[in-house]
Amino acid sequence: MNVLDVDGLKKFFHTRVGAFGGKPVTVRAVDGVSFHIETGEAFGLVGESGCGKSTVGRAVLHLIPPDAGRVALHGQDLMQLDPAELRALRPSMQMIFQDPYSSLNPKQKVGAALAEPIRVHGRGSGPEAERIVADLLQEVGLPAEAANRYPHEFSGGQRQRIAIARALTLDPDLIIADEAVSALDVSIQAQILKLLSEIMQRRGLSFLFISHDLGVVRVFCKRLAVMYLGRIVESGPVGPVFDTPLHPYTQILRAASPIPDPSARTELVRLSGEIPSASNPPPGCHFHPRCPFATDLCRTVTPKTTEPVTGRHVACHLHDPAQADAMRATKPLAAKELYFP
Amino acid sequence: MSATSASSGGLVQTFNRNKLSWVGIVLFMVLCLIAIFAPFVAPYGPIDQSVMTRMRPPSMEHLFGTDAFGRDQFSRAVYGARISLSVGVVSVFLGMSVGGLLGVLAGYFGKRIDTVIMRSMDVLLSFPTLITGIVIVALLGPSLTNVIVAITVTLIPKFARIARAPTLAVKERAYIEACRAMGFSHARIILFHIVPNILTEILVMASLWTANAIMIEAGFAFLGLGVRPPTPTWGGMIREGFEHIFQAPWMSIFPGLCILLAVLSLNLIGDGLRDALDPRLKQVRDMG
Amino acid sequence: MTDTVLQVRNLTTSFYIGGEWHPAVRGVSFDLARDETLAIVGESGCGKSVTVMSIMRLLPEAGSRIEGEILLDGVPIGTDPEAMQKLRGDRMAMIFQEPMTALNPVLRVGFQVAEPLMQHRGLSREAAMEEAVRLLELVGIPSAKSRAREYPHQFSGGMRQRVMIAMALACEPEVLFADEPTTALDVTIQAQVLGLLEDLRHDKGMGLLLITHSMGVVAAVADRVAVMYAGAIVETGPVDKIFAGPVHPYTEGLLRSIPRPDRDAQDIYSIPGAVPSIDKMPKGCRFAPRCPLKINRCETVDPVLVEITPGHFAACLVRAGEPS
Ligand SMILES: Nc1ncnc2c1ncn2[C@@H]1O[C@H](COP(=O)(O)OP(=O)(O)OP(=O)(O)O)[C@@H](O)[C@H]1O
Ligand SMILES: Nc1ncnc2c1ncn2[C@@H]1O[C@H](COP(=O)(O)OP(=O)(O)OP(=O)(O)O)[C@@H](O)[C@H]1O
Ligand code: SF4
Ligand code: SF4
Ligand SMILES: [Mg+2]
Ligand SMILES: [Mg+2]
Repeated sequence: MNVLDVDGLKKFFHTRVGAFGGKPVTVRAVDGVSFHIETGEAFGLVGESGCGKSTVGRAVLHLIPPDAGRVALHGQDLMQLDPAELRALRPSMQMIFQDPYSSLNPKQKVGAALAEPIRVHGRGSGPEAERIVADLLQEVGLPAEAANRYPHEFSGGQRQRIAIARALTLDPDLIIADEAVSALDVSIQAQILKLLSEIMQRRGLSFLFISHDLGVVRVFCKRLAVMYLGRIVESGPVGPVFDTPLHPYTQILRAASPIPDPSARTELVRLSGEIPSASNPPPGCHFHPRCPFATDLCRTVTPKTTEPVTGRHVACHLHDPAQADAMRATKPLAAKELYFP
Repeated sequence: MSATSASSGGLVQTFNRNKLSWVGIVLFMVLCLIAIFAPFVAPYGPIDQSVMTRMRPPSMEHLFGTDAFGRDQFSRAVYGARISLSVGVVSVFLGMSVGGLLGVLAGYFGKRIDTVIMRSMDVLLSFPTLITGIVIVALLGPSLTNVIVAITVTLIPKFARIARAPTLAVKERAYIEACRAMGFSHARIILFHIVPNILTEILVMASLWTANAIMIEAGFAFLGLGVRPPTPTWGGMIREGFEHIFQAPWMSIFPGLCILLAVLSLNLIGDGLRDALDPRLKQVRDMG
Repeated sequence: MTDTVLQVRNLTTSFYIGGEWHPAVRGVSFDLARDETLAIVGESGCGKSVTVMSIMRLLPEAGSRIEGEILLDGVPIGTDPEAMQKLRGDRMAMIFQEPMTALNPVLRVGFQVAEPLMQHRGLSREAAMEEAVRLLELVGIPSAKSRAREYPHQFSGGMRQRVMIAMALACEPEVLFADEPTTALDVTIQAQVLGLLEDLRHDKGMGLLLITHSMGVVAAVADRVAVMYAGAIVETGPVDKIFAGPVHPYTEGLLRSIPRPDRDAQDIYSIPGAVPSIDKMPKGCRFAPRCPLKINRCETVDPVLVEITPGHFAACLVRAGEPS
């Protein structure tokens, strides 16, 4: 059974821009996102800044209430639960954040921070909680003395270990890691990735792994989804998606990701322009202003998600047999100055 | 571990570096001890009258001189410290607890709750302190309790404002989200994860406002709105001395100095706390 | 080489911490040619930024000490603060990592780009503004004329970085220092900015010193690489040689710890431990506590750069040996 099923998830923010109240805008941060995570699997979520990755993570955890859609943990729909039931279910889903500096309470000793959830959920008290904490610290590679120190006494990498230990206190089934290694140096990043893989193997955990680094996703995840302006544009197994990306956006993302090999050096992208904002997404296919294959059809019709290869989903008219004729018939948009592999 | 430890000296260390704030603490402690042990410190009773020694200037027998009833002004100042300090401390403590809590609730829950709380605080705040106090004391009658109530009411909106701003900032930190993900109740998150992180900001203001409250109490007493005579308070003593300001200036000067000393010590403490707070804020800012 | 524009000789920068001077940069030497990109890589805290700040003399006077020689076009610089002030933003320019903090939020973008032109070239306000618009066009800001009248907060991260580049380029500097210019940006925008930098470097014949901690970025744009560890250059050479055959165990470790988007089934390698802080530097080879090849001698002898093949130097007792 799947750990997590997400179906048509939507989350809109209503804010105002400009001085003196300003004009109200709706940010369609997550606009109909569906995916599932199998037990023991790490599922990657990639995309540019502001495309809605973190919002998906928060909405899945119900830290912010989703506007529409279904989020089911072990087949149980979270939207149907009352607050008390939801709170009882919280231990099974935990989160690790990007910034190891703001994700720990600076006024709380590490030991107390780790023991608190154990006590609150009645999983142990006094010496028993202490023993669990000691085991957790050992599991994440920190000395037992760490329990008596405050977070500011640790380096970024060590803090991230503490945050991981805290996420493990309640023995969750699913961990949502939001850019959990993005703020770390390469060598520390590798250390943390290694730790996470070990924990995943040992505990049979599942991960929703949010990242903008394709390399990190490739080593850590089995499958992934690529997001663009609140929608998933492509999903599938990591290897094939990165080696033969189907969606033009994935292709560009992949081409722009630096590879540490000067012999594979290619011409760098020379396009200008900005990423459109989620508060004012372009009509039709959100990607059409940046897409080298865009046609008039793309400008008006939102592409459907199809499965051109088994296990791989993509939302682009190019891969929709139903639109093949229409795509051929409409004229391409003006050629853009854009690099394409 | 070593890389960060240098930049993150705790509150205590920074506070230690500021010598003057320690002077403030010692001074305030001495004043408090004097107030607590007044019967042992004061050589005479606070209301013991003596016709023989009326309006005597300061001497070895009567350090602060005597008043029109021949009462020892030093003993009265010592007993007066009890009233003045306890009015300051108690009203600030109450104002801080109630106002602080309201501010934290407003900041934490936001939306409707925020609007309702902060609008009512704005209304309270729009009346000048002394006017509010006079109205309350006039309605309830002059007494120690009512003076404390009056000052507390004027302090509540101030503390609510001071508490709300840092709550808004702390609320956005990832560890609060982590707490919610772990299924902690709002009460636990507020008490154990928000309050400790905004406490320093509030304590700075508390120490400064204690000084303020002492002065307000003196002002009430001076206007005759405070504790009823013959119970000594510093403000009351100044008022009594005012009638004889030219013949017996010591009657007003010494209680005035007492107020000055208390206010000064609290301001030094407040400044020390603020200094201790600032580098930490800076560090947080550096971390982005 | 007549082509050399910047020469750095034995640069040592120390900070005064706890009553003692501790070097954050030790004996760093390198050359930078016109139309060349030299990348300095290394983990956080290795002294990359301090190196550049020392060359630009942007470190606070109090508590820091800079030794060594810096030559711009063969002429020693850095001793006279007033002359340095004239050079900065004119013949040597710099781009920072955080484009938001480096731009003044209350001044219009166009004016900020025009400022160095008025300051260093004595252009009139109108002429400088005209030139600023041309520069903003050059760095690929659409409808530059109207956007020049906007404020930094109205620009996205990538656009702000372009503005920074336009500012740095205003006086056509001979040397451009870019301190992690793309770290805060998305990969697609990073590729744009790096591409832009490369084009401009080539068109103007600038020397580009690029600081980064991303080996991927190095592989994409650098001609030569200098790997820094704990304040010193431990390996330097042409980019293809360093990537194809890293000599220093630190370079090797860095290369092995990068997760690659183009390869399957990778074992994650990680260099154990962390960069020591400058007041807790180990004796001998500073990489010894983290080095898998360490021998006893490493704990006492400080290795120096040895030439392995022409232009490729490394400082490792085991891998590169000691100079005879
Ligand atoms: N609380 C909020 N109120 C209003 N808008 C929001 C809020 N949270 C997020 N947004 C907007 O929703 C969009 C998606 O944000 P989100 O943080 O999910 O992006 P992301 O993919 O995680 O980006 P990043 O890589 O920068 O973390 C953005 O345009 C953001 O500005
Ligand atoms: N003003 C200063 N006073 C004392 N120490 C300093 C100062 N500036 C930098 N350092 C120290 O010098 C060392 C090198 O710092 P530097 O900023 O050059 O690192 P970096 O390689 O640029 O790292 P990053 O990738 O994090 O930018 C660090 O250990 C740092 O703590
Ligand atoms: S639907 Fe059209 S615009 Fe969108 S990605 Fe496909 S080809 Fe490009
Ligand atoms: S000198 Fe020794 S410790 Fe240093 S890098 Fe070489 S082998 Fe490792
Ligand atoms: Mg995010
Ligand atoms: Mg730096």
